Formats: sequence, structure tokens, C-alpha cells
Amino acid sequence: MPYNVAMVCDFFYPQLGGVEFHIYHLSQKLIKLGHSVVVITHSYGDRTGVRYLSNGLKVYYVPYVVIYRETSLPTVFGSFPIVRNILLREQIQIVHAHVSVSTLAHESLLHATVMGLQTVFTDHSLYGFDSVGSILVNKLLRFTLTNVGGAICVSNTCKENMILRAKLEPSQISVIPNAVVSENFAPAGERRSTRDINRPITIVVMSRLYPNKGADLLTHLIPKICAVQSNVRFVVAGDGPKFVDFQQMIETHRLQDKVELLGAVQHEKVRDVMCLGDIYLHASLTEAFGTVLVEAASCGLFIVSTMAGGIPEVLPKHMTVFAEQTSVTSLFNATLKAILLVQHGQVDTSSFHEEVADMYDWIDVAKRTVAVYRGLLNQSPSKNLSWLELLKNFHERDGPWARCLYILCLLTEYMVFLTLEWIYPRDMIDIAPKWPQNKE
Amino acid sequence: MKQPWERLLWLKQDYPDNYTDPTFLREVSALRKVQSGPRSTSSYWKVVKDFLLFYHRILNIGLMYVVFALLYLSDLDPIFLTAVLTLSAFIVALARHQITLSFKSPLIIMFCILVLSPVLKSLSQTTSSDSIWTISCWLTALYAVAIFLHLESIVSTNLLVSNVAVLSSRLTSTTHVFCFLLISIELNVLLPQIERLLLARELNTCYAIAFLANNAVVYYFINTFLGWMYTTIIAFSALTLIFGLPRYFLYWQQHYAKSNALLSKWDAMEPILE
Repeated sequence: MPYNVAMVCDFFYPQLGGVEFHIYHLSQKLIKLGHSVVVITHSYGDRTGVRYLSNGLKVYYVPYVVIYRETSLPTVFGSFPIVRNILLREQIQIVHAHVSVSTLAHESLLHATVMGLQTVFTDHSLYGFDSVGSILVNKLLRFTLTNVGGAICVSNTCKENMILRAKLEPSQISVIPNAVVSENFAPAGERRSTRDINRPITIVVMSRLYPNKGADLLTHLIPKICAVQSNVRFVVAGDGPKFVDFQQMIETHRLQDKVELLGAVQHEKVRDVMCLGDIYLHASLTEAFGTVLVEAASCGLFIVSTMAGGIPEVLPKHMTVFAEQTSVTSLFNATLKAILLVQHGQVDTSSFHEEVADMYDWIDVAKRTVAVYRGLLNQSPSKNLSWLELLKNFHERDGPWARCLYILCLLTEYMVFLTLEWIYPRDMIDIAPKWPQNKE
Repeated sequence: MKQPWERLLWLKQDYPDNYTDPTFLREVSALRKVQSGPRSTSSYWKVVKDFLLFYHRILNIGLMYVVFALLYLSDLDPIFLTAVLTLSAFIVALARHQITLSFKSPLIIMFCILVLSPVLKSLSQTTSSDSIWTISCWLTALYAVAIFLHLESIVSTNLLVSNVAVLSSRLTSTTHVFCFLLISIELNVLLPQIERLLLARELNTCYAIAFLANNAVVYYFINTFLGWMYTTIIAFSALTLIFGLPRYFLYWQQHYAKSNALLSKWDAMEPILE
């Protein structure tokens, strides 16, 4: 039975990034499975109103004030009229919100529960517990996820994190990883099966050059590797505040002919850059899933990585060499080990592409997500979502002050809902025709 | 026989996606205990003591304003007060360093202040008094923050001197300005040092006497100049600062402070650069 799903997130095309691609690919595959999907996001520049992407993926660009890094202004109730309108017009059954720093996602979760719809929330990143920013996000999450139907995390580490941050039951959270479009990450045509031992080994680094991506580790590590291994080249792709440090490193250690800085690389060029290398080096200090590792492995690269966050769960042992610690020495040893393995032809990367394609496929992700939806829609009617029950859940949720605030918010939400039902009744809202499905 | 669950994403396992392994649950319940349970915090009285020391510094600032009020509002002869304070400062310093005290640097500083006094007096003369009070108020607040955050002493001293420079223009003569600047430095730089010395040598009774005297002077003047209403409000705020805020601090420490290895599991790891 096809479902009507609304994906809600502040981050979507034309902005590019992991989350945006996740929503896009998931939606595409859900459409392919016969479901109807709309995306609700805020407007980007003059990209306002309703747009269609491939295969009839309808995107609502809601005109909103953006306050910080493409996050819309939090108003709690302000988005209710338009979100309600869209949800009714599209006959939505499931609201699927993404990302815990997206205001629009949080607000629609609240609106959807009050409207009696099923809700799912996906989180893509890890958060700490001690910075002001993460405390705020965690409090907000605890509020909006009080009545959420189900949650999806991209890794088991992310699930643990989520359980603690949002105080959810472990059984409510499903672990469904990201995936890659394996056709877009095919290895270079001529995969040298017999390696010439004298051919230099190229190590690719592709990440935004930020401190939390391990940029400092890399600027210390690269000269050390170059000092002991003469036959190694580095290709560093990506831009960020640490770019200057890389330039300085090259100048200081005279590595102009060994290290190549490419700067920011467009998404469609990522595969070509990956294919320049034999080894992919990942020095990130925090990572929920690490899609880039999967992409690199799919391009047939051997992986050297730290063990931050969810990384150890992502790839099988024969594709990776892990650095036990996030230290230069540990990474140095791991990289040397990988270089030697590749040099002596002891790793066979030719099968990586097919293996990864088998492990991480968007259609698989979509099917597993549909299973979550099905579970919610088919659950026994004992899971009561009446307004009184919602209030009760909020009342049991948090400390004495927060509890009062939550209930106040929910009561206001009810009033807004009733007012909207009165001045803008349901039967006055036109139903949008569905995009015709062409069954193959 | 079902394969045991493994914490891997790439492996297709015969378990539903929301399957939670008992091992996973054990880990989570351990983490939850850490999150909700009591965490090691500082002792309440130790924190109170820290806040008390900070409050004492605020009182020192208060003394400076008392002197300013005396010079500004009443016809007090500033030279007598300055002489007494400076002399006692030297005596205390002599007692501390036995005999070998160099008179050179204090004298240089004094002459510098003397030379600067006319400049300071006329520097912000044309600014209206209201602006001066406002600027002085903000500088005092910044000074208190600088002390609280233990910024480098150069920052706090600069803030102090700028505050005095701003206030100086309201005084009647250059002598007043010189005396006020000297007294301010003595009260806000030398006096805290002496008090710290008392604490370090565990001369607690002496310290308590100094603290109480400081309190007495400041509150007497607040009462005289502003009336009992203000005295009550300020005294109440002071009590909240000393005894209330530490409680809040401990609460914060217990719930949010970066102290727990298990909970900082999700922070970005520290790069070890060697």
C-alpha cells in the first residue's frame, strides 16, 4: 500500500551536502517503490514556492526568514498554518523530519502530532553534552521528540547518542545507514591488477579542512610520511579555515612536488579525484557515519582512518586500516602499514566496488525506511495519540519547570489548531493531484 | 541457531532495524546512570570561599567609590588620607620584606602619576557628568568581569586606570586627582595583594578583620549616601552572590560540566600532535 510521506528539513537542494543528498536519494527510491513523497524546506533566494525535481518529487520552498547557516527562525507556532495546509493538501500520513538543528523539522513534528499524523525523525550527526549549542539542541530535541513515533539513526553510535540526548526507548530507534549511488563512484577504468612497485602511491584526502576533521593531524602527518616514504604523493581536496596551514606545511617542508592542494571540489568531480589515488586517508575526529569512506571504498581505494564515532561500523576489516588513537603516531603507523600493503600488492581492491554496492544501496535504505513507516501505521490502536495522552506524555517528560513550559506550548498549539480549523476549514483546502506513477 | 548480533552496519543481519542487543542495552543503561546520577562536584564550601574572595574584590572596588564620593561630595582634605594610606602601605611592605625594600619603583610610579594628574583632570572635562557616570559604571563592570575570569593583571589594571581617568575629570583640583589615582591603585592593587598574603600565611583572623572592616566601611557609606533601602538591596544581592550562586554553580557542574569520560564520548576527539 503506497504511503504519502512528507520529508521536512531546513536543508535541501540547492544547498549540497550529506543530509541534502540523503533526503533526495531516499525520496527518489521511495517514489520508485510506489510511494508519494513531498519535501518541505525553506526558500533559498528566489527559489520560492512549489518546484518539481526528477520523477515528480515535489518540493515546497516555504518563504521563511533564515537566521543562521540556513536554519530558519524558530517561532514554534508560526509555521503551523502553512505546514498544516501542505500536509492536508498532500494527504500526508507520515511526516519524516531530518536533522536536529533544523527548526522547521522540529516544528513540523509538533504540528503533525497535534494533527494526529505519524512522525519519524532521522538524525545524521553526533552531539556532545557540554557545549551551550548542544545543550540547547538537546533540550529542543527532548521537547519535540516527546511524542515522536519512531526515530532513525545512521549508526549504532548515533543511536546510543540519541537515546541519551532525547531520552527515547531503544526500541523506538532504528539504525539505517546512509548509502551511496554506486554508479557514480565507479573505480578508474584501468585498475592496475599487477602493480608496478616503482609507481608512486597516491594518497587522497578529501574533507572540509576544519579542526574537527583532523586538519591539524594531517598537517603534522603528511611531512612525516613524505620524510620516510619517497615514493608517495598526496592529493588534498577540500577547502576550509585550515587551508592556509596546508599551504604553510608545503612551504616549510618543501613538498611542492609531493603534495597537491586542489581546494574545494564540486560534488560531481569527487569520483574523479578519488580515482587519482590508491589510498584514502581519513583523519576526522568526529563522525556519525562517514559516507565519504564508503564512497572512497566504492572507487576502489584502500582506507586508512581514525576510529572516531561510527566509523568502525561502516566498512569490513579487509578494506581498512584503523589508527587506534587520534594521534599523529598512530595514524602514521596505520598509513605506513597501508602503503606497504598496497606496494606489495597484498590488498586486492578490485572487488571493493561490487562489495560496497552490495552493502550500501539506497533502495535497501528505502525499503528499511518503509518498514519503519509500516510499523507505525499498523501499530495497534492501543498507542493512543489523543490530545490528553500527548499532554500526559509531556507532563512526564522532564523537570518541573520544563514540564510547565511544554504543557503551555502544547495548549497554545491546540488553540492555534482549533482556530485554524475554524477560519480555514479542512474541506476548503484543495487536494493536490498525485504525480502519475508509471509502473514498469 | 541465529547468528549473534554484531555492531556493524555493512553486515546484513537477520535482525530488525530497531533491534537492540542486550549488550547494547547494558552499555546504554550504564551511560544513563552516569547521565542522571550524582557526579563528582566541588565541595559547596570551597566554592563559597571562591565566591567570597571575589566578593572581597568587589568590596575593594566599593572602597574606591567611597573615596571618590568623599572627595567629590565633601570637602575632605585628600592629602591627609593619602599620606596615611601610603605610609601604611610602606610599613606593611617593610614588614613583609624585612629591610631590603627598594623605594625606587614606587617613587617612579608616584611621580608618573603626579605628572599625569593635570592631563587626567582635563582629559574628559568637556564630557557631561551623566556620560562619565555611565562610562565609569561599565568600566567597573568590565573590571569585575576581568577579575572574575582571572584575566591577565594587565587587563584589569588597565581597566582600573581608565576608570580612574574617567572619574578624575569630576574632581576639583589636580591634587585631588593625584590623591584619588594613588589611593585607587593602593586599594585595588596593593590591598588585594596584602589580603591574599594574609590568606596564604593562614593568618585567618587578620583576614577576617580586614574583610569585616572593608564591609563595615562600604556599607556605612552606602547607608549614609543612599539610605537603608539600597543597603538592604545590595546586602541581599551580596548574600545571594556568596551563598546562592555556588549552589547554581554546583548544579551546573553536576549536569553539564565537561568532566565525564563516558559522556564526552561523542565530542570531537582531541588530536594528539606530539
